[in-house]
Amino acid sequence: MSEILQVIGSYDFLHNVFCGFTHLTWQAAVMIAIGAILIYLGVAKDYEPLLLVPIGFGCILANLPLTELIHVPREGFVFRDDIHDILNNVGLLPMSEGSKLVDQGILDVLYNAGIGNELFPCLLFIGIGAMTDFGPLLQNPRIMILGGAGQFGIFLTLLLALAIGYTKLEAICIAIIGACDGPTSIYITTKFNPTLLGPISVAAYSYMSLVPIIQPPVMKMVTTWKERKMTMSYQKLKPVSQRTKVLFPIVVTIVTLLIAPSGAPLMGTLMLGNFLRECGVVGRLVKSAENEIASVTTLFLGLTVGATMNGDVFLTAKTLGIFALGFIAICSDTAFGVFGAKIMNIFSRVKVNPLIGAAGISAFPMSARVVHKVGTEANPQSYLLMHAMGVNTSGQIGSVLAASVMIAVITALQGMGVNLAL
Amino acid sequence: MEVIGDMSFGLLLTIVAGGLTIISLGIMIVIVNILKSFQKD
Repeated sequence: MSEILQVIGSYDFLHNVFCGFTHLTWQAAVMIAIGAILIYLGVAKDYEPLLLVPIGFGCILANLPLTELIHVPREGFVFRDDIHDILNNVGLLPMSEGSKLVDQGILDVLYNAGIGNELFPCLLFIGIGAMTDFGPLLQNPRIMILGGAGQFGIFLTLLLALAIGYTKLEAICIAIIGACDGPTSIYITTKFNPTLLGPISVAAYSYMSLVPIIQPPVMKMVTTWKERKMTMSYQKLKPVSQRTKVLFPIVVTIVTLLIAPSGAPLMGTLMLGNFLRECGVVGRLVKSAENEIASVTTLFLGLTVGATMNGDVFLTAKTLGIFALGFIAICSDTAFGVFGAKIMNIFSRVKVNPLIGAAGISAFPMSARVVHKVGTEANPQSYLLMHAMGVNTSGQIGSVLAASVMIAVITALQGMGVNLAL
Repeated sequence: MEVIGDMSFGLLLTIVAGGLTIISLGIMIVIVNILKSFQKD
């Protein structure tokens, strides 16, 4: 009996039996609380639940001590496999200095399969393309330019981030929050600075869900009541033939990829999804793309991104800066979109309500609905929804295009030997 | 060229990437209008 008591009373025994508690750090506890808040926002407040729930759960799973589901930051680990074992057995450790040889956890497997190689955001884009109807945009193609104007918040944020001391590659990843497009943000961050994946994806999805709260005050600030109450006619819009709708994704793919070939994974998959939808002969593939593929990818993407939210990486002043700059990015996108519409009105005979410019971001269809709501508040006779939907879909193209062109410019600089890490 | 200043990099990206984005959208508008002009009403 005394032997048993001696064992139970020993520090080592208790430390190992209750290892979950003894290894829990304050950073992990805070991250578990943040994961719980994300789940709460998704479940109780309905803020982007499809993403915030798996992100929140992934965050909790990864921060519980000793679970070994995922290893972050990735640079600190080398994953054991047959080759490593063979080299290890003959005394050649294929490891960089300071790295630790570990077994892959299930979330490591998902990370390597779909995040590290940027596959998941691209699969998601096939689903987004299959769900998007570019009809309202094709009826009035000149509004496509507003989808470009709405991206200038990205560049303003880039300059701000650089001015306050973020490195170049960090600033690109932060600025892309202004695309208001989760998969694009994840794609760019994975490509240029994977350590920021957690804070950037959480900021991107949080702000996307807050579009109905963030955008209206900005819209009102940059427009007069007279501008907001302006009505827009639907009579001059010519219906679009199915042939035009089928040709559109092919044309966009060719034009954009000739200009920015390195954006092919983003634009190519978005337009592939849309072509499947419009060609009308692959109903099963469209159904799979917008349901099964999109759902499975969303789950794996959210879970893995959430799991990268390690306390050491997330709980820093940098994260606060990322959230502040992300907020500025979305506000300035809204303002630039409205200014774009105002500039368009100077040169155009047929005037548009400047509010529709605010929908030139990728948060579809939420932003279009917000524009319509603000328009009807100023004038109940005004019906801006379909015009705003057109601009909103152009915002989707614009955000992917801006990201693709940024990748092309950065790739060109790297090709010239410019070290962007300096 | 091995190093580029932070703000020079930001301005370069803003001018080139912003400009190319708008030019690409402009080209698309022209092409869509051409496609629509072949439509039978």
